[in-house]
Amino acid sequence: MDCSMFKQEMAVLFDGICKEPLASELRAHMHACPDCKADFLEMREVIDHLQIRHMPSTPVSLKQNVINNLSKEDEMMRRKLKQMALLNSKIKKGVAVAAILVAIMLVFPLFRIGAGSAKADSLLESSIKATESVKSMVIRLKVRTIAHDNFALVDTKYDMVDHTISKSFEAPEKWRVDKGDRVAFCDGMNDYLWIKTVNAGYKAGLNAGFVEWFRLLLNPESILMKEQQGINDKGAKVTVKEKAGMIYLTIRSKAQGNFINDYCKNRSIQESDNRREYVFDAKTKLLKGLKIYILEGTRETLILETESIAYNVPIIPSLYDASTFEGVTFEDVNKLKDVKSETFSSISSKRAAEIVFEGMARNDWASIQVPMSQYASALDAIKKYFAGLKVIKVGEPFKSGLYPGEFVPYHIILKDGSVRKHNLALRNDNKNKVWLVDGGL
Amino acid sequence: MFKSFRAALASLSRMLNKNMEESYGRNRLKKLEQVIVEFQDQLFRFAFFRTGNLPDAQDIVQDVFIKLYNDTAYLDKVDNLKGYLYRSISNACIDYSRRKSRRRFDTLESIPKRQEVGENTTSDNLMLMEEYSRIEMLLDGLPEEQSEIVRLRVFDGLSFVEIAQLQEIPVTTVKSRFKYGIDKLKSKIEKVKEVNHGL
Repeated sequence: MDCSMFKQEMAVLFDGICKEPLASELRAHMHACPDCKADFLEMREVIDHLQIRHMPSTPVSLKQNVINNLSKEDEMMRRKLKQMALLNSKIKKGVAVAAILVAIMLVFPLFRIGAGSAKADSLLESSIKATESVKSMVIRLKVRTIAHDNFALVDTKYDMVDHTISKSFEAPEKWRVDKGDRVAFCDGMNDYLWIKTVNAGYKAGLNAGFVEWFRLLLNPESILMKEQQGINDKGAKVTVKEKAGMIYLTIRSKAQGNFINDYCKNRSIQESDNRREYVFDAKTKLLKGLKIYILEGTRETLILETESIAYNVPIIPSLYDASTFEGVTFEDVNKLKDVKSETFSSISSKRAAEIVFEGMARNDWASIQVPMSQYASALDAIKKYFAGLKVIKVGEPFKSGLYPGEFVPYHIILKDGSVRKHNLALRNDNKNKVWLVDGGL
Repeated sequence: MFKSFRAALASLSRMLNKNMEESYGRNRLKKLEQVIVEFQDQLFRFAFFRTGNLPDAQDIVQDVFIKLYNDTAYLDKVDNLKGYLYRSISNACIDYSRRKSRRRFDTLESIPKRQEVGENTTSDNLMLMEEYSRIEMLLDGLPEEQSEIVRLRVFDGLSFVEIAQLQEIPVTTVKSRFKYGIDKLKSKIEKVKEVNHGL
């Protein structure tokens, strides 16, 4: 091998699979030729320089999100197949042709895109551009939810609760979502959550997920972008109308998630069949209003309605200031990501729930410190209700909707004699797969 | 003739029913789970170092797995599954870049603001974003066809043969583009060294 051949083929020494005898020939030449060896070493130095020093950890929710999304689709498909099999046994004449037609429909599902989708796409594009000039925004809205509960929680049977969303777009971006008994905000460096009923505060890095679905409302550009992507999804139907200087965009979507157990069905907007009605100013293309309805059969319930959306209005800086919450220590929830426990990582969610209730019954809070770690700052309030309880039954766990953890049904009697039947929400999508109580108390 | 036609239709119907039951059976999800476990880390890494955004990388990878499931009746019979997944994720990242170019928060400074904590802590995120910026700066200015081959070989660990299959180009072209790319990076890294040493 000569030097020009070495230079031409040198790269294969950095291939994952370097075939013999070429590799041996290259190495032999390199050892005999200092210039080529220097070239090789330089190349290796560049490649070393390129090596990735910090690898991102794959989110543990990734796999579950995919499975949840697909299990529902699969279940529907199996039901259709069962119905088809039943049809086969009853109808004899012409069954083959019918089966083939149904089969073709199933194998090649029809993607029905609303007639207005191209128009909607263009409208959303204009609105995305329009929001670029916005410096601040205040949205006042009403949502059917519980004032102290999660931001994502909605239900047709709840009353409307006032919400205020404030957002300053200038860097660093700051925002606040206030629903009375629960406030989340970002001071540009961290996200914070305060729960009034237990006076508990939590702190995490940016985009910690405290506001759940509301995160979309914080970025009009983002919600419009999401809708723009969703327009081409199967099942989404879009209509666009213009009237009296306003443009009305309506999108109908199917519930997302796994509803083999429908506990979570209609408990959040994403987990509901819903209709979203946007109103845009025809001239400025800015979003002026939003209404969301949950659809159950023929019944429609208004679940979210904006009362006003104001752009470029002054916002008091103290809205985003954690020090204004007197006497509240905001606990860093990032610590929970690394929580470790052999006991609570090697058992089922049902057993974890049993241990939690047994600990509460014995008033032994040290034994359940790990699974209750999300409630550390609210433990005094929880002890008042749950210490000394009596366990009647802990049922079989189930999954539902988009929730990444499991729900464990329970039946307990509190020390004041009141009976409580509910589902304890536990999740183990942390680094060490430790079951943590996440809700349902 | 009509009788035999009807029999053929009935037979075809049985075959389709059987195939569909197999295709949409519960075991498909299990197979997909195995595929996810095997490929999720490398695909997530791929998507992150193309997008520089953890939540978007997660969305992209999830969509690719869902598409794989919906588009292919037999997961275990996909010809060159790794190639299929890399092609899909690569296309999805290109689409993402096109969409992103229309968005307003597209400066490097704004990227960390949109990170989700996920399994990466805040300090992890900062280090990841620094790493992403370092890699982007190094590869900036390299022709796209060279930088992509450097990425696929060095970051994603694909062999030259696998890259050739993925990009549908000869192996010799892959090798030469890799070498030209590394040669250009050599002078760039030298300059960085000079700056760092204050020369």
